Amino acid sequence: MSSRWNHQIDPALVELFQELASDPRSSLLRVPIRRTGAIGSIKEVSPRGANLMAAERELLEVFRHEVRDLLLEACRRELYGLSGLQLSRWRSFDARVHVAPEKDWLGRVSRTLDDVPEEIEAGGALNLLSACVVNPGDKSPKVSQFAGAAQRVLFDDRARIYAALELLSEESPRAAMSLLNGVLDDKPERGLSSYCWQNLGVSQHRMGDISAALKSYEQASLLGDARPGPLLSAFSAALAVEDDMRAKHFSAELEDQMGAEHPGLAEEIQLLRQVTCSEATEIKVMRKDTFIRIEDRLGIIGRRIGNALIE
Amino acid sequence: MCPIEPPSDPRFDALLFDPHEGPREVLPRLVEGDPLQLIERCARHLTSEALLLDLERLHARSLALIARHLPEALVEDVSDWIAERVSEAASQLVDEELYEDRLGFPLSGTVDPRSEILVGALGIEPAMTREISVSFHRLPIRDRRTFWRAVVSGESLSGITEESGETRDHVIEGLRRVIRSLSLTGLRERDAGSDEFENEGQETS
Repeated sequence: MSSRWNHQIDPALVELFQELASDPRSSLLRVPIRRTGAIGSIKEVSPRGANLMAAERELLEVFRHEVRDLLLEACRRELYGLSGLQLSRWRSFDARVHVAPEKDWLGRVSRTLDDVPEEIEAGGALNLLSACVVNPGDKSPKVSQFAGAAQRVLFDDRARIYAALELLSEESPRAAMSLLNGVLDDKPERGLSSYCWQNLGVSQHRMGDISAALKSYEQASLLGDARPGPLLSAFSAALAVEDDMRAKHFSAELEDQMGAEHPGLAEEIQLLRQVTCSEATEIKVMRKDTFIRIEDRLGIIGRRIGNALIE
Repeated sequence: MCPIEPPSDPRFDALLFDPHEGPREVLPRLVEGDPLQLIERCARHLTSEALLLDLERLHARSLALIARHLPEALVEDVSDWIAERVSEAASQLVDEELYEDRLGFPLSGTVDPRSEILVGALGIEPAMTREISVSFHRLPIRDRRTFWRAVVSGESLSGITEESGETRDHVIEGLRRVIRSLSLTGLRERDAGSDEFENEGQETS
């Protein structure tokens, strides 16, 4: 590697390094830095580019990503068929999740199965995908099977979240919470954190702890400001715990971000109703009382959601 | 899908698609002489997105993705399509690094240019560079770019201040936040206060 470092760090920056390095916990300046001629662009540092062997090695990684992504897509396709989940088709307020038609999906799986090199040691994963292609009408493998296989090919936080969603659908909210908390402990990126919090909320809701669910939904909406699901859930939970102020806040947020003409609103309300339908009677009563009390201070979306939930 | 046809620019001849060829057969002509000028595209991507990735690795991964997805290239926007593959390659590498770090995979024995940058510029021990690189890639792109300009490219603070229209104190404060966050990577206290640095991230579905 030929380093050709031509620049000089700004002296003010060196002072900043020294100041920050005085914190005993800091990992700065543990080895000598190069103050002059210290830094060059990465391009200058490494001008040769890749050789064929390196590219062939990376091709194996590309196939691993491909197999893993197909398995994760298989998880999502299965999850959309399960009941009791708040599995929105709206990835954001203005973008619908694209779900490929069955034929396209199977075509991609077939192509991967045909092309994947033997060096990819993913026999179990390939068998699962192969079963989808060979017997498309048969009972599909479970989400947890697809997710487990995906994890073995290439680690990804989404696999554990999908397995948790299946547990939720199977009325095992405690086990789902355990998985979701495990993902959150690993500090996933912001969008995934939001998704975990939202489904933690659904799990808590399922277990009757609406106050905890409200906090989780609120956290989900703070982290995932592009998805409508957490806001709808937070509004519903705020009504159920008689928190007028929060209910009005979430209603106003929905009004601002979603708008009454949003093409996914009816679908989101339907998903929310699926989550609330198994609630205890007293929770339904409290939500109804709160809604009636504050209805005239809500916007059109808040009123529409509230009316749908108390039907 | 539309098989690629030779555009007027002969550089793209390497992308001529033959349905009988697999990606391994395509790779040699993409590598030889770098006809797609991919190494420059990768270097530009690293700079524009302020990513601390190994350029050679990014180049190799981009080549592999292009070879694998060649049948999907559309003749009218070949350049954009190549740029998308480079971006996809970078995302894959950033994700892989995150999971390798989390799962405690041993560090590669080969010398990594970005290690040299982090060690040479910040005085960070080589063993910590992957963890710090993971933290860096989770910073908002605005903060990453400022760091890149000041530390990686070695631009003067006055130049950055002038171009950004911000005050010098503001620029230094931003850099202080970023560098402090990187220098405390892995500490519980830093984790608790790091939310403001986290990226928007990808969607779950």
